[in-house]
Amino acid sequence: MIGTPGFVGARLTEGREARALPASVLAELVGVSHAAILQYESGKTSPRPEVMALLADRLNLPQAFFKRPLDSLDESEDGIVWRSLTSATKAARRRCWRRLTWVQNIVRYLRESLDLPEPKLPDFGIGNPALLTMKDIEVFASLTRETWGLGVGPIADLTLLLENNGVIVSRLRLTADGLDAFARWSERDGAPYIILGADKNSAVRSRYDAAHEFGHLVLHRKTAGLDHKRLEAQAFRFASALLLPEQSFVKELWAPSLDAFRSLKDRWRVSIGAMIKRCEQLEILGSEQTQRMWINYNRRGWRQVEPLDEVLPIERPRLLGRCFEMLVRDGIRSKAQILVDLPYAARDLEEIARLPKGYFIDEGPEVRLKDSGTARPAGSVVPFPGGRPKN
Amino acid sequence: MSNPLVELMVGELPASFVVALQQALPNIYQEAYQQAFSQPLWEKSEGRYLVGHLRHALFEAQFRNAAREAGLKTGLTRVPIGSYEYSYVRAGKLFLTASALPSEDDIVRPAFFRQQHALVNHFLSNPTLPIIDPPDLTSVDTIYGIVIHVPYAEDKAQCSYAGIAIPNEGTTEWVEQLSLADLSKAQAQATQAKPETTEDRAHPRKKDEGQRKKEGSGNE
Repeated sequence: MIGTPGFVGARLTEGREARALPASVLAELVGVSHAAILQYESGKTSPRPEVMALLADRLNLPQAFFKRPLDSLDESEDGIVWRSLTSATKAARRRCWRRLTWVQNIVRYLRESLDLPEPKLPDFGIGNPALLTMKDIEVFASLTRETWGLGVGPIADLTLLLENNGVIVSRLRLTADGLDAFARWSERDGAPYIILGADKNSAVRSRYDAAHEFGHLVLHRKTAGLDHKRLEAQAFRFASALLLPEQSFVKELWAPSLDAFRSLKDRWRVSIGAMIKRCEQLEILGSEQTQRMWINYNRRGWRQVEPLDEVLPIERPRLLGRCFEMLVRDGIRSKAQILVDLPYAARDLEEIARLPKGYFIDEGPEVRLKDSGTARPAGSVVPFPGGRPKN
Repeated sequence: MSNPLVELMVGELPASFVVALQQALPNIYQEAYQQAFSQPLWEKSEGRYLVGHLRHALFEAQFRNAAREAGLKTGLTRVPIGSYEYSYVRAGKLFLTASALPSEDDIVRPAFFRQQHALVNHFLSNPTLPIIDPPDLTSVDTIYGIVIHVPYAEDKAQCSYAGIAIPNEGTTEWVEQLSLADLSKAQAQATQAKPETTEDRAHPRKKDEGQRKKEGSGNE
């Protein structure tokens, strides 16, 4: 049987997981057996050219992707602290991890031609995060502001601040419940990465996610064997303390009420929910008061959408997009060369680097069906002339 | 454009003092009205006579109390003819007394003690326009101000306005007037931490040719 020369089975697994497709579903989409997919992935057989073309098409990846040798620099899922182990499915986590490795590959590629801002994350020499108290974390958050030359005021653009200090930030659609963002400090790249979910349409929640993940990068470079819940609680505390420093936030809070939180939201760019939690952390609100506050918060319908959520602009990462633009503008690589060098779909590159849709391949204006009176209603059955064809 | 007198009030008066006055005023007005009109021993006309006196008594006590709580120097001074005591508060360069007014557009009634204190404001009687030539307060030791409060015309049990007014040398007009609410707002803004603006440094830099070759770029 003629297969595909140079086919790398592990790349098929990678592509499938990056698209969160179970092997059985991919088999159905391509029209081969489930066992055949598993055999391709294990490297026992390679797909026929026409199956290869279908695999590439269904996974929306160029064929070159499946022929790329495995990269010794690819890191495992270890070292990523997932927000929730229970609610996010394993498939969703695998998808996210795969996408992170793509981001890392892209950054390595960009670094061949460009210098990116050097990581300047504070190192507090934390040996065992399990020994940290919440007070320590408050101090670390305050020292982080100090290290970066910040005062105690609201941070205008946290994503830009992180990028300025060498953190690679990308906003991707994660399409996984309970998985809002994740981060990794890559020892191999010597670079910190934060992936933010683009699924949330709330500027303040996305900012908080960024601060939370940044907390993991600062506090949890060594996490082996540690209690997941504790790590999460520490990152939440760090995020709160970084975004709402006690000395300045409390001074401005004229009353611990929902209306007061609402009035401060625009200035501090932190959700009302996060302010309630912060007041509980700082013991401005007792447990009963906090409970009542949450009840009123829910009654106002703020659990779904808070005031200003649709108004405040979402912070956008800029660095990766600027890198590609520089490669092209300065004639270092053409768009076509980039697509050859990086075997990903143009749309994936555009999403990862937040470049406009069609930046790499101009697909022309989107074609839409005219809404004419002759159009069939959705779901109507088209009669097949001459009956069903025989196989 | 900055106003030196407003800046002085914002800077010299402790926020807690301003807030305490604002919080006390509604209760003072209610209490005075109730005491004046709920007594069976006299009728409405006596009530109308007394309500201003009761409000004055309650406010003067609270004025000194709020100052003490805020760490300001305060006390009572007897008027020269000896029939009457008034409260004063010293807050930095500001020397304050208190007065009730029928409306916020009114000026205080002529009184010898107020006129004496207002003499220190002679530097505010400069004929040039204060916006073009604002008064220089750096060389001034004392500025006289009056905490004024005004009841609603149609409901004397409620305070409609409270503020700090700086009279001219002859107490014939206000040179500056700021409501306590605006003063509190300005004080809150003055103490707010400045937003941490982020300079955009998230730009890549092109590696020079030598550096790229050294690092073994194989793409070209």
